Amino acid sequence: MSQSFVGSESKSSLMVLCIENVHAQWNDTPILQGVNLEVDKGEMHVILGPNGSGKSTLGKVILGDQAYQKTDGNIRFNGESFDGLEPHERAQKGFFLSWQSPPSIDGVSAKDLLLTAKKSLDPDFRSSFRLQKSLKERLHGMHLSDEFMGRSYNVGASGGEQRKMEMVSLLTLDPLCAFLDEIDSGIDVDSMHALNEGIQEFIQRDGKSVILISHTQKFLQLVKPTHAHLLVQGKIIRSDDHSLISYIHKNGFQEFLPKKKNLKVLSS
Amino acid sequence: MSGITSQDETFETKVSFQDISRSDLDRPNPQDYVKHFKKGLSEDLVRQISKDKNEPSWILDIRLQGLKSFHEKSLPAWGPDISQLHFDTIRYFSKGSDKTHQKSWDEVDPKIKATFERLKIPEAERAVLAGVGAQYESENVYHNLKKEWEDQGVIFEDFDIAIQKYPELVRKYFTRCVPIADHKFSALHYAVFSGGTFLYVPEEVEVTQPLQAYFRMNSMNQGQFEHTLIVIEKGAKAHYIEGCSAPKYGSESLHAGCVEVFVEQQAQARYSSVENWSKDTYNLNTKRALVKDRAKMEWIGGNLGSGVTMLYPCSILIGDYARVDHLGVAFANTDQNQDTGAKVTILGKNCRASIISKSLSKGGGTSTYRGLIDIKKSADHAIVNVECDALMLDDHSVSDTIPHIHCVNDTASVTHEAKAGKISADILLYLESRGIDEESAKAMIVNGFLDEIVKTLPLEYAVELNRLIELEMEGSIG
Repeated sequence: MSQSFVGSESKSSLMVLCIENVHAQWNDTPILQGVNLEVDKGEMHVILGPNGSGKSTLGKVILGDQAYQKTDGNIRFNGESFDGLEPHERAQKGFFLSWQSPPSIDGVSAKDLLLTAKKSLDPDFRSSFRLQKSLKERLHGMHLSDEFMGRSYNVGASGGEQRKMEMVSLLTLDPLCAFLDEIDSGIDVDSMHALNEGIQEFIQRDGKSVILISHTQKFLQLVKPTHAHLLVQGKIIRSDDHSLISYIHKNGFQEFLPKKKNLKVLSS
Repeated sequence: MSGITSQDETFETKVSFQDISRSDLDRPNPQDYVKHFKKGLSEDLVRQISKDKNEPSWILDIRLQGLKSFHEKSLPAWGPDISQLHFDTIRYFSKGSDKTHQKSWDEVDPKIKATFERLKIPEAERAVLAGVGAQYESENVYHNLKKEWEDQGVIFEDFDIAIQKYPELVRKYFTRCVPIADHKFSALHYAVFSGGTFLYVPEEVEVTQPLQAYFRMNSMNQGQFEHTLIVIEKGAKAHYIEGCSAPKYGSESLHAGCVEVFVEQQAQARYSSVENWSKDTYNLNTKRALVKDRAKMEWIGGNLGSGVTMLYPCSILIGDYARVDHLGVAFANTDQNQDTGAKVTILGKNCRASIISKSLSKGGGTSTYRGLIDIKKSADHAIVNVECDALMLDDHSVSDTIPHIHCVNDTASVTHEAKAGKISADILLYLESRGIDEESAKAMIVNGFLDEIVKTLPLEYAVELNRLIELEMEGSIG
């Protein structure tokens, strides 16, 4: 921040994620077409939008998934550009992506995975005993049994259990900014409350921020994001406070979608 | 990594193989002594070995039969190309010191002792093992069994010494499991065998700590031909472990050991080995077990080193309700051909066999599972499961599965399942998204792939195997 002017110091040191005019494509198909988004510490944002509008792609592009090519724009995290950084380096800077469908991994336990991750994120990390203890507590907090520590990661786990494991990982790894991609999809009401408690615990820690993707109004009512954005066809076309959530849930996305001009051609 | 990280609370207080690096394994000691031992194979040499060991004439007869059969037999017509193995450049017998067959590490030649200390063998012995043998070139330099087991009648002896001390016992079993003329390399083995282990566990004795032998080749173009004879009497139980290594010279070495295991009624034997010969070694080893009524045999093997490996532990289930488990891991890196597998012949009724083979290939290496299941007419209600998983770490490595199943009994049930694939890009990205770099993520996936087998090894060996795999995984990007 040495280059910042005194006046902008406080503003820029609050900002954790700054996405400017990001364009990205997958196999030559443009998906993100000029996304702008700023997230400050302590804020919780939700990104709304119809299926296929590019919400999950945004998470993958911030992570640096090579399957997508960023063709234009800037992603700055905590004041530094993400350009040229590998996914694990972005994670080490404090970005966490929770996956919509996390993979299962034979022979690798949650304990091994999180211990290795923790050591990668924090070279000074020593106490694996303490991690094990806190991992147990976190699992209980998510209504998951101790068994989940030692058994093969996500193997045979239900969708709900996998999502709760994502939350356990988030709370354990303690990043700066968490991008939670439909962490609430297909879960029962008890799990929804448990996940909400996890998110609240995380955001109350010092200097954290959250970006959510969710289609569930009930979940969003619980979580209470401070900011809401509408992503349509690869662009954020509206940003507002939480009132946008109830508006969309009442009225749907239709009015925000481009008018279909060639109805005749499409229907024939 | 899974083995190391999951255990690391307890692990620091125990014996550690973690610090052993490839250079510790590849580094030779001085070898002035080899000038006293000629290269090449001849009847004179065979007689000389026998004379040097002061062997009874029946042993010399076996050697000479072996030599004759070696010349008669041709190289196998299948499997990896071994035409570059030149039999006349190999030194079939040599001793690193005249101070062999010691009972105390203090008596072992300091230079040789240092080698085993670098490999952490004496440390492991103190901590977790019931007995240890250490072979250097052709002869054992050290062999010792803890007194509590000796008192119960267990014999754990250098094979050369066992021939002298227990001739009747050795004669009853020697060559009865692996016949002299079984194949070209068993014949060669019997002609020039030297060193190895004799383990005898009397009826109903359960040896609760593992017994270990470590085999080290030191000089260039060395051949090692140790014979391991294991007899587990009725109702007895033991776990024998073997570790192997040799320095690297860029010129071929040959390992043609032989293991015979007799598992008597209701006995249980477990044989674990981590073979990590240098990459210029031909590892052409023969291992076989005879398993009687209600007895159980377990083979656990890790094959990492060697340029060419041909190793197919074999189990013959002759008793009813006999059981065998084969668990094998093979890792083929650049210029390595790991041709490994399992052979099971079933004669008894209601027998069960399970074979789990995991192979990895990387940097253009080739790993092959080659198996033979032979269910004879008498083998009613045999149940056999074979599972072969192969993981290729890049696009130019090779993995093959060549299973043979011969079954002439209608009541048998045989399943064979084979999977081959590359490291999942999805899993790799997921681990990276948690802050783990690509190389560590790959190592983690590989360790997970092998976990099923590694967790059957005692902790120290699991750590060693993981460590060796980590060494092989180094530079796995790009």
